[in-house]
Amino acid sequence: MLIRIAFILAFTASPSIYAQVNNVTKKHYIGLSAGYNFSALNDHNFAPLLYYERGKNYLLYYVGVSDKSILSADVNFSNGKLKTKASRFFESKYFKGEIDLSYLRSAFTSANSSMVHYFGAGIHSYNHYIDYDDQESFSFIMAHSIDFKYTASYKLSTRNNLQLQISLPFVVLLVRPPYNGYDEELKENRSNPFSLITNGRVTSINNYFAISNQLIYSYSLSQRFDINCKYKFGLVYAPIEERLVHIHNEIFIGASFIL
Amino acid sequence: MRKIIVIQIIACTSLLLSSCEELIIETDEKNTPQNNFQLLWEDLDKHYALFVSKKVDWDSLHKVYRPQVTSNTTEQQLWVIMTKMLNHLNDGHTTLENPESQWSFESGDSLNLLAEEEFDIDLVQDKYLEYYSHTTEPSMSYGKIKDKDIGYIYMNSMTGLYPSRIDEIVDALQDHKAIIFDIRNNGGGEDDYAHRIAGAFADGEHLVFTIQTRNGENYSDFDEKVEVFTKRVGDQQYLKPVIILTDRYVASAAETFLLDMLSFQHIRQVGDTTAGDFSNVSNTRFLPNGWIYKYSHQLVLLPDGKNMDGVGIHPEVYIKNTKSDIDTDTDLVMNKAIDYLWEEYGIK
Repeated sequence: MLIRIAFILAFTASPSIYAQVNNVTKKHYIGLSAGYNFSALNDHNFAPLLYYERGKNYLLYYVGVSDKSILSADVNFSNGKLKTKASRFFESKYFKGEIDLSYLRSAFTSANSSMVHYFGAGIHSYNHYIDYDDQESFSFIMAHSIDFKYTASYKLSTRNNLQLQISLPFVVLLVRPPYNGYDEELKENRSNPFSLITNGRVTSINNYFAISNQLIYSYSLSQRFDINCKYKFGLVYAPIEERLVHIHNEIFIGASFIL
Repeated sequence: MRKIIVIQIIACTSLLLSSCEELIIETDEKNTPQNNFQLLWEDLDKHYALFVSKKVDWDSLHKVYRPQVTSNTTEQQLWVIMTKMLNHLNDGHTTLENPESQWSFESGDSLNLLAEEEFDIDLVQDKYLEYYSHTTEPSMSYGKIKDKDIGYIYMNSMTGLYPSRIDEIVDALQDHKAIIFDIRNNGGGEDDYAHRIAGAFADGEHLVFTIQTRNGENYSDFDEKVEVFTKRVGDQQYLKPVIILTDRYVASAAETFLLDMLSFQHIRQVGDTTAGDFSNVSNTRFLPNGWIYKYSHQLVLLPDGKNMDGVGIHPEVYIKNTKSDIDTDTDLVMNKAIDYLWEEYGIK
């Protein structure tokens, strides 16, 4: 498993190898994106089967970029259907919500390079819920983490920009269903959302490994507007108790307003 | 240099889109008779809550039934083998279903199904009731016994949107000297709903049972006991004699309701022993062949430590109808309840 993950990381992280540094002007972006989710899920708490996840994505974000730092905040929501090859009757719904707040500083960047490297940290809340037939069966994973963040911003031309973002959680409050999927404590917490989303264990990459890797291409339409497209690949691997593997493939198209 | 980057991006993106599911998630579960059997058996082995209390040797059942499953076993043969194995649990909350073929199975339900024919609400309505009113809550109806100062309530399930409708019924029947509360052919619903209904008859707070959920691989691994108490709910409670009518069909949340009610001083049970399905049912589980199943994942104990799963609640006054009684327009259970109110309380 780890070899496979390393292989994929090596491939997706490789653009930074060709980095060239350039000056980056200070800008504030606020934007909205919509997209499509075509992911795969294997959650043994829910079923031993491989599910294909298809749905719509919505993303609202703020990014403040200067030559020294990036401050970003985004909210991502997705919902849709899960299907499996085993039976057409197993179709289920999913809901996913993510909140991310990050701060990165530039480093290892030489003057006059087209590439700027940023390193930093962020807090991230990842919440994914599956529902079969109005709670006849359900499962969820909630991970509230502190992430290591890396961003490489590459200026292709005056109007074209390419960005690679990688984040890796290293401390996580992980919330998963109890051993038997449902118990009296969970039932009691249903009426108390704060308890529900925080009733977990603090852990690290041994029990929760998640990598998120985003490629963003943006094109500057004017001094005030950018359009962009984004491909996001993510892997979530939680082996404790009932194993979960979730592979995210998401594409977005959006527009930013430059403040 | 830029071209190299673009080519790399396209290459790695294509790789991810096309094959990462196969790279990272191992092959999907095989849809073979042996694997479907094994997945079902192992899931219950890890999660089913009542092996100890029901004295079921799950390993020995594996030794009996697993060799009967081969790669040549047909779908029908696998269904028979699995249902035979599950029937040893004698547990109405353990079910197997084939949605494609619309096959369904409930463990140990033969007596429960017979009880369906031993009750007829139309007979009760026509022969015994002066009037019979429906409420906006489909599960609840009520009326009055002909020529008696006795109210009548019928609930065919413990599910709905407005359990507080029971308060209106209690208000309407408050002046009668007694109530016959009929829950025959009530297969259950939601425990919270059942507790709310019982709250309209509560004479106080009583410990009725404890719930534990299996939380480990050993059959005796359970979490802490959660105590469940009755409580008064609603503006007024009905505290005059109440006779609850039961049959073998009464199960699950209907039995929860019955346990609540029997903890009150003014309640008596007349009829047949109930089904004995107390544990809450698990999430629906899925098999590679498209079948779904559920099972009991909790242990419910009475305050004295007894587990009644598979046993049921025995009535104070045992009586049951046969199909021929119903066919000849006789409801022995209703007759007995009316006689009991006269003999024990002088109510007519």
